[in-house]
Amino acid sequence: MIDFGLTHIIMAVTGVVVGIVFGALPGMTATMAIAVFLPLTYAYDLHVSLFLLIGLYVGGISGGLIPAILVNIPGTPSSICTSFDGYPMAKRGEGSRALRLGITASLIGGLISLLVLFLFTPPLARIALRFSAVEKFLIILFALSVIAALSKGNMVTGIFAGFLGVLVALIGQFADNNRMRMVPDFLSVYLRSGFQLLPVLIGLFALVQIFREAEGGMRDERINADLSSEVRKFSFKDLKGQTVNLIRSALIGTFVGILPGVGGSAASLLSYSQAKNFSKHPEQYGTGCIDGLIASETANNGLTGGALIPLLSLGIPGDSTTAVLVGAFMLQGVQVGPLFITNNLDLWHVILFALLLCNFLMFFIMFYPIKHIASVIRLPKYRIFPVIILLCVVGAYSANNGIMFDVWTMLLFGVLGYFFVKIKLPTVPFLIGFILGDDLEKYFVDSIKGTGGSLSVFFTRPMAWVIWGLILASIAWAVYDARREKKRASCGGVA
Amino acid sequence: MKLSRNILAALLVIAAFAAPVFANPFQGQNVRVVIGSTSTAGDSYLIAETVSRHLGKALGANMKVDAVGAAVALDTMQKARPDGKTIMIFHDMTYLGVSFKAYDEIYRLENMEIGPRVAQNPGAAWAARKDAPYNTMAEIPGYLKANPDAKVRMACEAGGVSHIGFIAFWKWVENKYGKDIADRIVVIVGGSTSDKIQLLIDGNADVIFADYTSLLDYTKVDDKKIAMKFVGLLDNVEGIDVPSYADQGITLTDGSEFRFSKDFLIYLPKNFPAEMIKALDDAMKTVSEDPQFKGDMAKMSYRGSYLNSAAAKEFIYKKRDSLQGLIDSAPSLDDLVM
Repeated sequence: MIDFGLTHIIMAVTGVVVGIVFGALPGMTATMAIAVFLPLTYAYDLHVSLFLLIGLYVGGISGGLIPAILVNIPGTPSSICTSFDGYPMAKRGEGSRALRLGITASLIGGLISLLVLFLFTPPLARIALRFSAVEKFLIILFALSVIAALSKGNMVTGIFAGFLGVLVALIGQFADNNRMRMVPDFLSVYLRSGFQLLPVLIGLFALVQIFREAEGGMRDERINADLSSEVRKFSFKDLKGQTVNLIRSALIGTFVGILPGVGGSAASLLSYSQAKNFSKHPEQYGTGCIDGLIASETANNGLTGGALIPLLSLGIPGDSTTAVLVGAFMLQGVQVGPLFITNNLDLWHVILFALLLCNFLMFFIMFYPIKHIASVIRLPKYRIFPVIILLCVVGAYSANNGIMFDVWTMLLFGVLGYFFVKIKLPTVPFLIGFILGDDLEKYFVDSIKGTGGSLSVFFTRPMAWVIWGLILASIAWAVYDARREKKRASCGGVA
Repeated sequence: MKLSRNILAALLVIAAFAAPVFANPFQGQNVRVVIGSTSTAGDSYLIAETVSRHLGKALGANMKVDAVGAAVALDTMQKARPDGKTIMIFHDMTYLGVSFKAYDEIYRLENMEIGPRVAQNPGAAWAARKDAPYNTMAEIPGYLKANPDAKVRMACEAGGVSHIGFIAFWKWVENKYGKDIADRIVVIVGGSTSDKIQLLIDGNADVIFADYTSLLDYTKVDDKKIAMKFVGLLDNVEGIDVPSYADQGITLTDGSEFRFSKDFLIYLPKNFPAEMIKALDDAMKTVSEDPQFKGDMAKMSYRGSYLNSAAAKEFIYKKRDSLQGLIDSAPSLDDLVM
């Protein structure tokens, strides 16, 4: 039996609401929310505090869908794919439908991953152990294969942009020997840790869009039509035919969460690319297709339960947010390691219950008032864009504890992204390369560390062969699909 | 006349109430406490967070720990204004990074002010897989001697405490068993504790360095894949039955004992006002005597070990200088990596 009362509910609600706000504000993340509120947990016992922390976690991951859908700025890196289809839906007058679909998908993803956490933690932890740096490198490579899927019709340029993103991700200090690379001396102080993800993300997504709008002149127009006369309203029937997509995406999210160090953005990208590869209408992805939105949101919430599996069963945090949770446990004198569940059965039950409660709270808190939240897009552009710019500057500035260089980074990548559009270099593959570049390098280097630099390590493990097969199949399908599409288009042209 | 006497009395009352405020220059201030680690689960964060919580209360300040990592933290100390709004709590890597030339000379201790010592962590430990063919660090050269094709890969961090622990051991092996054996003990550069645990589980390292408490659970499980054993501590820890370098006879080349506990000090920007350093000293002294603080530290196997800023400065300079000879005589990490 776990201790549960009004205080616990208040903490959970507070956590979820604050988490949603952190997730929704570009530049703020769930990790940041937990880090900020960590000291508050001393005032309460660990059981009560966990409701707050898990609420922040679930809310922080979920809140990212709001700006991704409404204004095409992913609130968190893991909601990038949400904007691919969510924003086009909002533009055609289906803003609240897209939000409600995303929220429902988030709930389903969270619940499936919770079920997996509850039922299979020990065996899945054993599987996670089989995934060495070699397999993690290959999983990142697999997630990168989404670039091929997204670059249909322009694959060479897309892959080039992806590589460029990886290259930019490698700017800064190489952690193993503290040496700087690709950084001029006068910028070495600012670029020690390279360009920070959130300012780059905000620049490439938000500023580019605002620059393009500004280019056409800021007329008195609204982002979409009046919400009361929406083109199409949300109905739970929308989820009909999405069962496979929901389960697959939730399991991909949970699985990626289980792999320590591989984050939410990889989960969402991988899930999106697989949904597209398996789809009967892949050409609709990126144009406001609900399948893509559902894949992304189910996967990034599926990550929450998955990321707790290695943390609770091995003592190894699954992502940056659960890494902060380790600090919360240890400050209260709770050892987080392979004996965590055995030695802290009560805490284990509290975590499971808090996750269940917070997922439902997230759903109710976001689902019903969403029409009011979505009404933000009824504001005319010339009013909303200055607010967005202000939010972007604040978000970039606060992303790394108030460093002005991050604001310049945001501007730089905004301008760079604008020129990418002009020269027809796709921004999304660049961003995906940038997000995954760090991990790609880390796991590549970690893989060859123990072998004295031999690349054969990538071909000696059976599990690695399986992932190689998936990568090749994914790329081959993307190439085949692109050719088929081209052929169909040319036939259409002739006709 | 009567009026001015009343004014004088009122001023005296105000002054009496205001005196404590003026006496504590940190009162009501927001203080950013940077640490040289990005992890919120390592000893740097746990100690800084616990100290900040208690010290903040004693100073009447709002102290917030910011886990920025070693490079950024050192840099922050060079750029921050000496106004008490930014301080650093960090361990020996503050000077070791410069001594090992992993960080520029600009970050040397002389370019900072030294505040009080706030805590110690004596539990710097080496661990191997439970089925490793050696039980202590001292047995490793014997194992290598008996197995001419074998290598032992040890995971440590460039310029960190593990680096000094590694070279002390490596020099001892070279001195006692010869360079051929020592050359077969190689470095795998690892990052956070999680990364090192993963390196050991993946079979990419044979011995890893971490905080004793962070690995304790792994020494209690039977699961072959993750089970570990401690093979040595850099110093003895009360109540812990793991032999230290000193117990194992791992000495410096001149035969003297090698012991190393991590010392956590408050570091401050250059020209930090003396009255603020005094305020930190006084508050930290009070905190270190608080049973609640002692209990919080003990819960995590750390200990408060207060030294005022003057004594802490003398101590840390002396510690740095005593290690320089060992660092200078050791081969570069670049030559020791696999």
